Amino acid sequence: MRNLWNFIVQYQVILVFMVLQALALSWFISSRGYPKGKWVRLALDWESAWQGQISEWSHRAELSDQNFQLLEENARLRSRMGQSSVSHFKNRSQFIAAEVIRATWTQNQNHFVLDQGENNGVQIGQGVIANGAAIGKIIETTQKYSIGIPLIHNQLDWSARIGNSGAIGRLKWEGGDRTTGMLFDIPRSAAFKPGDSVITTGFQGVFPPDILFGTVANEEPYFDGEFLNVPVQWAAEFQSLRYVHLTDTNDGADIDSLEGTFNHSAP
Amino acid sequence: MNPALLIPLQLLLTCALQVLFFQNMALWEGYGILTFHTLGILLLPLNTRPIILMFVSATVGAVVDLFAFGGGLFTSSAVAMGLFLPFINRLLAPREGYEVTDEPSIKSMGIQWFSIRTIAALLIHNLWMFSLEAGRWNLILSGWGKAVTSTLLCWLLFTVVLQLVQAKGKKR
Repeated sequence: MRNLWNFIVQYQVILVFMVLQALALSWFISSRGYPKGKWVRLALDWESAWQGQISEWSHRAELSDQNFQLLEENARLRSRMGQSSVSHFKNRSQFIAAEVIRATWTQNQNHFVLDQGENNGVQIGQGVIANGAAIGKIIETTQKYSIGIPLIHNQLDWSARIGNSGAIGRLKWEGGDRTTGMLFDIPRSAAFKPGDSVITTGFQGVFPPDILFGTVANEEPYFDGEFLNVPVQWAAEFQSLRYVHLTDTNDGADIDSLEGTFNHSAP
Repeated sequence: MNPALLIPLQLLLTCALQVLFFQNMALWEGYGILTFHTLGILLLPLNTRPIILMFVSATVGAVVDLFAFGGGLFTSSAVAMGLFLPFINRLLAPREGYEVTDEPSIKSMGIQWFSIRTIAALLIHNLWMFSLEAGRWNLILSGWGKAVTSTLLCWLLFTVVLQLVQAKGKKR
């Protein structure tokens, strides 16, 4: 016992360092750039009011009111498109307009904060689009604000398709160049060329089908066993993002519950 | 001002400025990230006990993590810096040791001492932070590049801020 005490006293600094690092790293590993939970909601509410104010000051001179009115009108039109029988959205999508009041685009695990929350109908899991291009998804909400993670987050996969009837793969950003992602697991037999659209499949329940992720980049695909990894040029310009729409396919909860059923019944 | 008041005030102010302003600044495509809260840790008295230094660093880092949605990244980096800061202080100590009245500022210790200490401590903080943040081996090198450039930018910022805030005094 005395030896143990002597050991602790002798190495107290290193022991405290290890304990504090263990706590910090377990926090880091458990969140992994995916800010969720009670504390995040609290911080989001406290800070976003201030960030919203800064955003308002900096954008006051840029006719933001008119922009927002146009955005809302755009959202209404998109919702009407969703009600049309000839639309790709097949009666399933509604759009909410929002403004990005804070964002990080230069890290490997980026996020953005929107000025719309539960009061405006924003829900966790909703897809975020801008000018018709997919941006990311909502992962946490409060009454007035919400946090989303963009396509340029190296911990997330997105279900994507090349063209309307093309091959389906797993779209991912691996860090580094913020203008391109990589579409994995495309069969070697798939036919495509640079400039072809890469669009959402709608399988994840985050986006409706046929929302643009980007286009096949003008680079050679990489061979990976039986598959190809195809570089994709993002359609969105993340660093200049300001106004976005949130879309709800109403399928997310259904897909989640089905996946839950599958997982529970799996041997 | 009474040091018992000044120290918490410095920590609070640097944290607040980081959370409210500097966390939104990412210059040069992510190669210029400012961590202003580390100035509060660097300005802690030279005779602060290493364990206290680490606990204060952890608290400061956790506050920034909470508001910057860092998820422990800033806490871990600040604790790493807190571990090495006493060693850096010891390496840079004058031959006769530090005097009771010495403060870790440009005014008290001179620009050369302040610059070496600040750059060394920030390098540890930023190398730790960007290596963790990279998350992949192929991104480590660009992470280290970001650590070096961000360190130099922070050092420049801290020097300017301290020169503006603190009156010019006699160097050691």
